Amino acid sequence: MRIEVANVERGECVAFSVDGVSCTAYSGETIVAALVNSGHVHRPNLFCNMGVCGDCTVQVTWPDGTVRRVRACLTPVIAGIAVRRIGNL
Amino acid sequence: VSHSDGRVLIVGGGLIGCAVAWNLARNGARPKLVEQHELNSGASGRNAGSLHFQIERRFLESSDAADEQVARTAALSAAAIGDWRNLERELGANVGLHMGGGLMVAETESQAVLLELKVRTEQAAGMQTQLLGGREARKLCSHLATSVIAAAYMPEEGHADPCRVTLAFARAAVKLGATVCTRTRVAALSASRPGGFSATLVSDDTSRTESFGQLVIAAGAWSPEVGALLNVHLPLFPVALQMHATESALPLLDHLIQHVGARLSMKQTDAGNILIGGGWPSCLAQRDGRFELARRPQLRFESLEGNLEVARSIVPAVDQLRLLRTWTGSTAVCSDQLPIVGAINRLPGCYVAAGGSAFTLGPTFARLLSESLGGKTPELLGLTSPARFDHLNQFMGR
Repeated sequence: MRIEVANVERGECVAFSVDGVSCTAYSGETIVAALVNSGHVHRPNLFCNMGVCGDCTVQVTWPDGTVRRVRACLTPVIAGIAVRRIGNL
Repeated sequence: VSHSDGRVLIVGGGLIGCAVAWNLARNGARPKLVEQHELNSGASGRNAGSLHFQIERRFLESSDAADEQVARTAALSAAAIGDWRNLERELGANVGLHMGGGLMVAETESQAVLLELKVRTEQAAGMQTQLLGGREARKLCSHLATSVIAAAYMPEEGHADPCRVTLAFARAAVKLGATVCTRTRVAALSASRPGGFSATLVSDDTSRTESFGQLVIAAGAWSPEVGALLNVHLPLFPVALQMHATESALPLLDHLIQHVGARLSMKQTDAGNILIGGGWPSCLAQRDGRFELARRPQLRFESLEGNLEVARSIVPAVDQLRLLRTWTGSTAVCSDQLPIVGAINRLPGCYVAAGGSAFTLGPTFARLLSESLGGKTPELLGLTSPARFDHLNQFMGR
């Protein structure tokens, strides 16, 4: 879920965590892209990738301390979030 | 064609039909199953997957359920517990089976009294139900509301995935030599003189008439239509229900939750979704004053609100979850609320299994019905025998 070719301009590198493990992603990527790219989610486990099926729901603790469940395929990754995987993801 | 050729035709590709095919195939038969749509497209694939072995709330409403009936229901439930326990191993498939226990809760004094009576009746029938106080129930299931003052606990209850069970039976049956034809309709049926049946099977581009030694009608709400092809009344009536799934959540519910005084079933799937149901009605489609099974039942908003309200009041944590999906489905209920499973006496070689409760009891009905086809008379099917409706067919001629 990240096109790996030369001369691509990416957003800044952001640090976040998945189930307590630190990882990085590029700003502008969705949480689900970040989970796939960091090896936490096996891509075939994603069903619609467009906000309909809900299979990619994760629990996120935001930098301000609020906890919300979000659809990872629709939510941009930002620095400092703690993602907790749910169910089969 | 003689009766002895032994080929079995199964009409209906739901849980029971596919499970009968598997049971027969593992005993060396080569049954043929026909399904007018796709496998699992009816009630078998649209229910909420509860494995409920306690006496159902609807049977407590009609107070005079005879002791003998309770004892026989308990015996069927005990058999079903054993069948489900072995299912994944025997099918070599993951069907999302989870038997972590079930709680039927009470919130008022009168509900607690009813629950206590129920547990006493069940224990007398040899069932392993226990009566718990509210605090004990919350020790098992910490998310239960404080309004729960008592619960009947049965350790074997649970759930399985309706999207997987039927297909697992079908795959295992085909592997053992059964034939499964989807999008194939039975257009005509007749009993042959020396015994056996001839069936006209119609698919998109072909129509052919074949002979069979035995016939199994397992077509759910469509079973009366199949019976009519043989001039037999089956008193089953279509019923439309609706169910809901929330978004996935962290582990919240390890148990099947039911309510003794309200329509509720709740469980959490292994993907984390909470499935909510319990027998809330949707609306059967109609045309020209007749119910129409071919069209999907319409959602009832009052049922959606009512069902979610009960769910929220018993497990307040679901209030934080978004509703992901609501769906409708139809099943069939018999005039006396019991399923119809067994041999049709006036038509030697013809068997039926339909009329609800067929997710929890389906694998067991299929196993027992297969024994019937093999010439046995399983005592457990005494309760569900079609013979109790012989009076409806007394004027139908031969």
